[in-house]
Amino acid sequence: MDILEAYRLVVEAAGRGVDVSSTVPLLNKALNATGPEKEALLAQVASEVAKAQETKFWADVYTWAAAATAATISLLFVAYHRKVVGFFFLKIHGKRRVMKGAGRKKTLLFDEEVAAVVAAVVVVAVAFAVASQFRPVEPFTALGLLGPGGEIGDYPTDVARGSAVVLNIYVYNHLGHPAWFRVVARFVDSPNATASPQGFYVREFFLGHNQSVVFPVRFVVNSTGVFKAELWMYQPDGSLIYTNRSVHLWIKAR
Amino acid sequence: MDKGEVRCPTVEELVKTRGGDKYEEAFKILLAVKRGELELEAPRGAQWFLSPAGLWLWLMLALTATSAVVALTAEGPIRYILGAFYVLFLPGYAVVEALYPRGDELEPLERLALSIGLSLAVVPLIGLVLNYSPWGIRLVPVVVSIAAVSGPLLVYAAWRKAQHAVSCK
Repeated sequence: MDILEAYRLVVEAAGRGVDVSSTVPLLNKALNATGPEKEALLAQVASEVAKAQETKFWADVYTWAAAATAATISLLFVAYHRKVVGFFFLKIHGKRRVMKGAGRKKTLLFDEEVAAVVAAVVVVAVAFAVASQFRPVEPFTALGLLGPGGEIGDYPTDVARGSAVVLNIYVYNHLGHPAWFRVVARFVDSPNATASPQGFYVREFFLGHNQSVVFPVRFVVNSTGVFKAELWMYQPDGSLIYTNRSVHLWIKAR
Repeated sequence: MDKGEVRCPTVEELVKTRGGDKYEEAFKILLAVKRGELELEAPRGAQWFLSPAGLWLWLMLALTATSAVVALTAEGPIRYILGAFYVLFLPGYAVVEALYPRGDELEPLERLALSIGLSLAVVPLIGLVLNYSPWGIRLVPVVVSIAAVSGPLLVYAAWRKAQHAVSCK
């Protein structure tokens, strides 16, 4: 199995709703490994996917069983609530003495108006919950440029010629599945320079759904120009595509 | 209760007197208590806390603790349900119960509306105080603060309920 096959396996499993987050560190290790170590790591990825699929199967069974149990208990409670509540009332308060009351309501749970309000809230909440279950993940990626401290701001826009500069790149994956990214950094004349998968800095890595990463890019500035970082991504079929995500910074060399 | 009957029978005695299915009759007595037609005797003072009347306090404290633990550790629908109860109902309910401990001062719907409304007023105040504290507005400080406000208020409400307990004269 090569890394592309393993990547395809992981993406397909994620598409079926399997939690494949445990495979991402293995894929990243495999990316930098060679020979038998790489083979072993990729075999481990396949095994993790199989394990995660089994876990999902039993989680689904548990969820449906829990839902069926809850529905059955609810129906039984609706049918027999008077006797059930009466039983507990008698067990807990059976020895207490009863006297005539003042005639004013002393309840929150046993009031019809309160029940109506609670029922309305429950209906709206259930409608929202069901609607959110069927809403697909909106797929997107994000690329950010951070200053030397790993935060927005303090960008080195005016530096001495020949001095070393550090910028940080932030990448976020919200595609609904792990993705194989390639970040390319180049020094160009204009921010509108055509995208290219090659540059003075290239970093490839896997990122799980809803995961982000920040890493530094160090370089020496010899002339005034534009630092540009682009986000590329491998498709499961092996093609490398540009995500249309780029960030840039004008740097003036004195 | 009719003339000739025991003046203050126990719930068990009343159920027996009425005949029929005892649990069904017990439920009818419970509804009569909730409507205010009947009232249950309860001891005053410290004894109230350990009597069946004090069960309300222990249930509310257990619910508070469960909601706090679930908010901090769990995920999924149960966290949303108990989280909403914990933030949008519990603090205000504790305030209302502390202010109106007898139970019949407000209509049930007024009690519900005030509980939700006061929660919406109390929780931002907790946030304001937390904002100026070293802990800030984060999950753990928020959960702990709401428990720290609601818990003592519930105990105070229980203490006031114990003062209003009635006995058969």
